[in-house]
Amino acid sequence: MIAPSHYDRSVLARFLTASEDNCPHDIAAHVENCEECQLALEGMINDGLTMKEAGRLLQQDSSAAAMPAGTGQDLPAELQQLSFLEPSDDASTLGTFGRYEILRVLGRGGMGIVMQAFDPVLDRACAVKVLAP
Amino acid sequence: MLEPETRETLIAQLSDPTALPAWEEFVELYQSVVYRVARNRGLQDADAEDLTQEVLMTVARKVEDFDFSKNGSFRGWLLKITRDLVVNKLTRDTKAMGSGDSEVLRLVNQQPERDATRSTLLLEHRRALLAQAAERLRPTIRRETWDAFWLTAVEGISISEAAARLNKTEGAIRVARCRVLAQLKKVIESDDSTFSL
Ligand SMILES: [Zn+2]
Repeated sequence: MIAPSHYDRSVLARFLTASEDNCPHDIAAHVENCEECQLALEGMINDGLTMKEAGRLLQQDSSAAAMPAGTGQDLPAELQQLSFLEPSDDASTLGTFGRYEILRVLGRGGMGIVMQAFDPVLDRACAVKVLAP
Repeated sequence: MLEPETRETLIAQLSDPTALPAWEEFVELYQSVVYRVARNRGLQDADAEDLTQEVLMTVARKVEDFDFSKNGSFRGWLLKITRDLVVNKLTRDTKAMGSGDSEVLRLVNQQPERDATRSTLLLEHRRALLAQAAERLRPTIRRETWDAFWLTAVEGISISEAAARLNKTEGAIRVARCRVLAQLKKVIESDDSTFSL
């Protein structure tokens, strides 16, 4: 039984996921100084993925076995500059790669780049990924 | 000059272009998952990268077989065929024992290895999702709120030391880290996908 001076679970649940701009100051001021509400929050948060598990998973993510990914800075120049594309008759595209019209770059990762493309033979959209050699 | 014919490319032919985001999301998430599972199962860096490329290219070819008109989740299907492929490729071909039951025996012998690969896959899947959610959430919240979580949960620093470092009360640290974890889970759940925890 939670005393009326504390917040109940539904209020605390909303408090947990409220964005910083919408986080009610009166609730924050109370729970930051109330052991009982802190215990309630910690109990609620460990339902499902626990603090401990989350910490362990993220810890290993920053370890050396992590895949080099994200910036694409390590990619060869031809992949970064798209110099492997052939000029296209269609001026609105980046160029062609084989039969594919390359529309835009969707992402660069440690292994290569992913591009949105159009396949004129099959007349449909596709994703083309070119892997670093 | 790169020739398309000689380059390894990962091309997904999707009969339904609206599935393109799901495919991209899958590739971005799963290339690190497959790589890490392969490393975990003992492969060296270059071999793990090769296996990752091989798996994703095989999946890309199979994408053409997926029938969007039939019921079933594209994401769920991608996950299943990819996991099966990884498990098969990372299972060593143990020699048959030479009896009439050799095929059965071979499968029995391989089972522990398959189970280990499968549970590593699930673990790495969770890790990749959480890391992706952290990357998205981090820029949207105040530095000291994030640090309250990161220092204590990930770096293993005590609540009291984190409070001293961040010039906060211990209560504020405990509340901040709970809020960060709750929001990480919310990001993952709202991801509108079956690539969930
Ligand atoms: Zn209270």
